[in-house]
Amino acid sequence: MVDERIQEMDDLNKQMVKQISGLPRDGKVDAKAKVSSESGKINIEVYQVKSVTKEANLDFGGGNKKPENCAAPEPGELKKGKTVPDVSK
Amino acid sequence: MISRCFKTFLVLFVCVTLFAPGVWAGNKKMMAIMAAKNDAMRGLTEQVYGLKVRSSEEVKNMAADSYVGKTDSKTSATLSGIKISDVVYDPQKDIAKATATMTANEIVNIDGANVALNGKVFKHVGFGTSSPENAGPLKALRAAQIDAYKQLAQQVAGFTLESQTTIENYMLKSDLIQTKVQASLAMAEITNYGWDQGGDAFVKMVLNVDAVSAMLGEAVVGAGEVIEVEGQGAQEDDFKKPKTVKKR
Repeated sequence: MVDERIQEMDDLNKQMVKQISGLPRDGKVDAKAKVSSESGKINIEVYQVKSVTKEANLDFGGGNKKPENCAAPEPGELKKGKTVPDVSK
Repeated sequence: MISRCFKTFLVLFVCVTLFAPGVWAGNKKMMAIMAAKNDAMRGLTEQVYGLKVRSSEEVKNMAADSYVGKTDSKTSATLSGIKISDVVYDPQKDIAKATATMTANEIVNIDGANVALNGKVFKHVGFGTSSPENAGPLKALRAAQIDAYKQLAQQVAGFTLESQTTIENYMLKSDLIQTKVQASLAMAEITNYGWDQGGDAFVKMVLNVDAVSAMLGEAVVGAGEVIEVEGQGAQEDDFKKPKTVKKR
């Protein structure tokens, strides 16, 4: 009887998800719906949808990585507490 | 003379001991019958006065062992004129059965509404036992009854469906489905009940929306409908994991 109930809940969930447009390829969808029945027909009214799309990491074969030896310091980088050794003495 | 009286007493004592074991049954029978009467009266109260049902279900990733379904019911009323009849006791199973009957003209139900009953007769059969080891079938029957109430509440009042789904590359990664319902119910009648060969119980329940509407004297959503549900209840939990004992 647990399996039957899970199947019923899954069917309802699928019907609800069908009503949601723009499902993300990667991400999370939280949805809430009010389910009512009239004359044996089930009505699903979706009243809240929160969709979070996971941002894809752009990887062009490592081209966006900076070589460590020739990296110029970012503006303000030295102000973030990094000290430059004094070689004048 | 004394010897003869003693012999007669001895014969009577042996006869009573051998042929009437119920004499030595103690209070088991009375306790079981009392439990059955209380169950019958509670069922009648839930039917006539009504009850509140609150239920929630949750399943993760469609796995049956993750399913959690919980339903609470509550009723409290002062009813008079309940008659108990057809009391039967099975000494082998230590299970008693009793029927509660009530006739009423008018009642204020659980929602505070005046309901005209016009002499309608209500009946409910209850069961009871004095020993927990024999309570399995009765617990399953009560579970089936509560399940039927939950289904009626879901159909009459509707329920909330919540879903949290995570998708990766158009494929389901994780899924959580929840349902919630809270409602008051009254005038639901049990039309049939029983147990299958495996010991699981079923309760068939009917709610005549028109009859409820007529009693309340106002329109109710779902007019013309007779809502019929079948609740189910199990004696054993197949997903209950054995307790592991940690060794020190």
